[in-house]
This record gives sequence, structure tokens and C-alpha cells, in this order.
Amino acid sequence: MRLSELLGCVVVDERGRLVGRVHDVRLVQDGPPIGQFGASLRLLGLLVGRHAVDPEHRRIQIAGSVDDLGPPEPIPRQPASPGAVSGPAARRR
Amino acid sequence: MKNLVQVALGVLTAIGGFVDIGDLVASTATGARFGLALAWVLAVGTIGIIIFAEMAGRVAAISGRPVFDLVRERLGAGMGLANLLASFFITLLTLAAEIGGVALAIELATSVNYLLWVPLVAIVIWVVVWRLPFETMDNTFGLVGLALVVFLLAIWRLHPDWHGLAHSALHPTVPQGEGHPTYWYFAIALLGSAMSPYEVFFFSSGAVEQRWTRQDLIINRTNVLIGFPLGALLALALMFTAAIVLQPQGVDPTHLSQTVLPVSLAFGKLGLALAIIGIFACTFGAALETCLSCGYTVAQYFGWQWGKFVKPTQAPRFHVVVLLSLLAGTLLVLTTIDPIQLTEYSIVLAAAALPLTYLPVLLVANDRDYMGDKANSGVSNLLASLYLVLLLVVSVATIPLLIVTKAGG
Amino acid sequence: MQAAGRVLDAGLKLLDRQLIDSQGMLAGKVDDLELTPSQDDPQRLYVTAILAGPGALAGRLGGRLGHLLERTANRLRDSPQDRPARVPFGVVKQLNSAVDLWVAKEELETDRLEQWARQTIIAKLPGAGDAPQ
Repeated sequence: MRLSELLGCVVVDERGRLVGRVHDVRLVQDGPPIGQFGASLRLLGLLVGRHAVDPEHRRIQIAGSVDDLGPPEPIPRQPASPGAVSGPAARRR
Repeated sequence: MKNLVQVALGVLTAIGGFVDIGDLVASTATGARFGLALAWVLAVGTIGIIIFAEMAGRVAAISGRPVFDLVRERLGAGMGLANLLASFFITLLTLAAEIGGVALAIELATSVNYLLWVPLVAIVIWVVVWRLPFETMDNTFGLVGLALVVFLLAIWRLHPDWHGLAHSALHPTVPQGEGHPTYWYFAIALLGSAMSPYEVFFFSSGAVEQRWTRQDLIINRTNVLIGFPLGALLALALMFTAAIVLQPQGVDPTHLSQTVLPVSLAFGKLGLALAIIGIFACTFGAALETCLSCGYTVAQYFGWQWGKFVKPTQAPRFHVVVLLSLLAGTLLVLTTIDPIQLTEYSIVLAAAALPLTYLPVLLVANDRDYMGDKANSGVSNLLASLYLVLLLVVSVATIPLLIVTKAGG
Repeated sequence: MQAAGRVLDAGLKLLDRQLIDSQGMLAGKVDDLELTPSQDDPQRLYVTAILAGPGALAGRLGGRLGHLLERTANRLRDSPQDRPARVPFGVVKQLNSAVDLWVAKEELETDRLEQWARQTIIAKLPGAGDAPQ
């Protein structure tokens, strides 16, 4: 899977309510060692913001409700909880 | 001692290299039609390029990367690509105009039609880009371009009405027979010629080509703060001489022979020869710069190895782009489009695209990740931001004015 | 070696960064990242490679332009696989303002277009291999 497939995806909660659009992803370096780099980078979460809907209608559904997400951080980012991504590849286009 | 020579060389090269076919055409045309009523635009444009060229040079010296290289990191792949397409297209147009300018200069000297010179000029340009070391190339054409100082001397020789000229420069009014939209259209063209995007690409890439580091920041500042204003003085001299000789006659310059008329009136054949040599060196130097800039912008967006500081085999895609751009520019000139008109379009479209070029310079120069303690001061930011607002206004006004005035007709 | 636990935003710190090889030569940009689910826990995605070149860039640009770019790139690369050129993350040395690599660019898949341009055009011109100026 490619990062570009995640960027720009519309994120909805379990009831289909709009959370926002993926602006960026957060990585943490705590995975198994890879080559000569060191610990590999693991996808920690999505940074979702409220903006226009992606015209290609790619959607990501998070587990839980939009109400469970914390208050928005000051512009421009609001992190979604880790492991919230469920089957974006299956939902692509 | 060696440093002093280096500094002097840098300044002289900056002076002689300041003027290109865009400045030639814009300054002469505005001088002939508006006298000195648009001299203030030249001042505004020169201050603008000084501010941003200093920033671009500083970015290159501190981060080791030219501005356009960093455009993609700041704007993202999509916006960066849009920026690339616009910048590349305009630089290519300018390249074609410069090739036309070189051919016209040779035509002036030989009376052989410029079109016949175009293929030869293109080949020589490519050979110089391919073989001549960067500094040699930069210095040679910059220094020979100083021959344009003959225009400055011609002003004195022609015994102008100093009082009248000073008055029209300091109290700009639209002359009889010209409309206000045309006045502003020419102002925009003049600004576009003074702040042409390729100058930023070339200046910052050139700083990397010459391996500038922190120690070279002083050279950067002297080149820019002394060299550019003096170079602008040469452009002003072109406007002056056109105002003195062409405006009273009501001549609307459409040919390079009219540009050099004041000099031949003042100094005869010797003056004419110097003027032609100066024009040749300026336009040839600018052709080299725009040709390389076509390669710089594309290579820097995609992250390819670029530059004359490596062997050509180490930067093949860069050199392919340079070659193809030169070919495209040459073919454009060979369509027999009027080179003066081509130049006018290139500077006006450049004016419309100025925010695209200069906003990234400001963004990058402020980034402490790359710049460390040499990031912009509050004062630079204020000045630069004011200019950006101006450039946005200019950009928006360009196309409507182009249409309304029928390209300044 | 990097300190474990470091957190970074991919779009901000990784994407569109310059790749610099072990010789200091420029080797393209980080056009996209390859994410692979872990064997043990498919919910965990790891960055396994950097994707570079027109095929990878196509994914970022999206739409018809992207598809066109991708098809052209694959044809030029003359590769049997229908995927963009890949720089395994294991060869990354450091992530700072650029991405430094442990290897020389010739060892990367991303170098194919460069090599093609070199062999087909540049090497045929006189003076191409002369010392830099």
C-alpha cells in the first residue's frame, strides 16, 4: 500500500459521520529493525482536518464515534487514535 | 588582495549582466513613449530584485540548496508541479527572446537578416553551456556587457534638458496621446523585465554551482547591493537616451536599431560598435542563464542531479533538458515571430508569474531548519511581504491590462 | 543510528525530500512511501520503502494526469513489473533536511532513466566525461 493512497482520504466514523480529510500521517520509530536504518517507522495515526470532500470519494472508516475524538488541536492538525484505520485499501475508490 | 579582486569581479559581473533583452526592449519602449514617467518603476523593480536575490543567495550559501529545489518541499508535489510548469514555460519563452536578441545584435553589426544567425547562435550557446566552466562563462559575458556604459556616457554627450528630465522623472504624468491603462501596462512590463523569475533560479543555482558557503555571504551582499543598482543604472540609461532622442520624434521603437540610435548620434560609429558589443554580450549571457535555468528548474523539482559542477555524464537528464529547451527556444524563434514582440510577451507573462517565484523564496528564507541563525529578520520579512502584495496586485492586473491595451498598442 | 521512539509526520518530514546517496550525489526525491502490514498484526503498518520516480509521483498527483504519467514511466523503465521504482528503507542512513542513503545511486532502481539518458544521449557527445568545471 502507498502513502499517497491514504492522503486525501475522507475519514468517517462508525456511523458514517464525517470526521474530515487525511492531511498527513504520523509515524513513530519503534518497529523491528530494517536494514541499516535502525528501528523501522510505524504508522501511528492519521492527521485529519476538516476540509472539502475528496472528489474520488475514497473513504476511511474509523472504529468508534467522532465524539470520542479529542478536541481539535489548534490549526492545522487533529490526530486520530492509533489503529483506527480499518480497511482503507478495500474501500479505495 | 585576492578577495578584493574576487569581490570586484563579482560586482562588475553583476553590473554588466543585469541587462537582458527584456530590459532593453522595456526601457527603450517606455523611454520613447513615456519619457521618464516610468523611471520610478525601474527603481521599485530593482529594490525588489535586490531584496529577493539576497535572500536566494543566502538560502543557497547556508543550506547548500537552491530555492527551486526547496519549492517542492514547501508547496508539495502538486503545487510544486504547477509552479514548475509555469516557471519553465516562462523561462523557455525568455530563452527564445534572448536568442532572438543575440541574432538581432549580430544583424545590427552585419546587416544580414537575423533569422540566418539563429541556428548558429543556438549552436554556440550550447557549446558554451556544455564546455565553458561556470565562472568563466558568468564573468566573461558579464564583463563584456559593461560596454553598455556607452549609453550612460551618451546621455552627457547629447546635452539633455536636465531640469525637464528630472521633473518628469520625479513628477510622473501620463503624456499626451497615451492612455492610463497603457501607462500601467508598460509599468507592469518594466517590472517584469527587472524582476524576471529566471534571475532568481539562476542566481541561487549559480551560488550552489560556485559552492558558496557562510563565508560568501559578504560577497552575496556586495554583489547584490552594489552590482544590481549600478546595473539598473544602465537600464535607466537606456530609458534616458530613448527619452532624449526618440520621444521628441514620436518614435515607437520596434527595432533594435532605434535602441542604439542615441549612441550613434552621440559617438558615431565607435559608440555604435560598443553598443552592439554590449547588447550582444548581455543577451548572449542571458541566453546562457535562461537555458541553464530551464534545466535547473526541471531537475530540481524531480530531484535529479544537476549542474555544471559535475561531469555531464553525472547529470545526463539535466543536460538533456537543457538541450531540448534550447532546441524548443530556437524553433520558436525560427517561426519568424517578431523577436521584439516575443520579448514583450515574455516580460509581461513573467510579471504575471512573479508571485509564484518569489513567495517560495520568502518561505524558504524564513525556515530555520535550513537557515539556522541566518533566517530572515523581521525587517526583511516586512519588506519582502510588502513586495509580495505588490506582485500579487501586478499579477492579477496583467492579463486584463494586456487585453484592454491590446498589448500596449 | 536513530533514537527509537522518534515521532515524525510523513508529509512534513519525509515526503518530497531530496535523496542524497553515499557519494553526495542527488538521487531523486521521496515521491511516495510504501507501507506494509506487519506479519503478526495486520493492523500495524510499517514504512518499508521509499518510492521514487514518475510512477511514484503519479500516485501523488492522482487523476488522469497521474495515470498517464504512470503508464509512460513503466514503459520507459522497461520493467516487467507494473510498479514504481523502490528504494528499500533499509538503505536509509539518516533523516534530516534531506534523506541520506548508505548506497550509491547506481545501485538503486530509480537510476534507470538516468542511465538511459546517459547511454543514449549524453555519452555520445564529445567531452561528456570530462572533469567538472
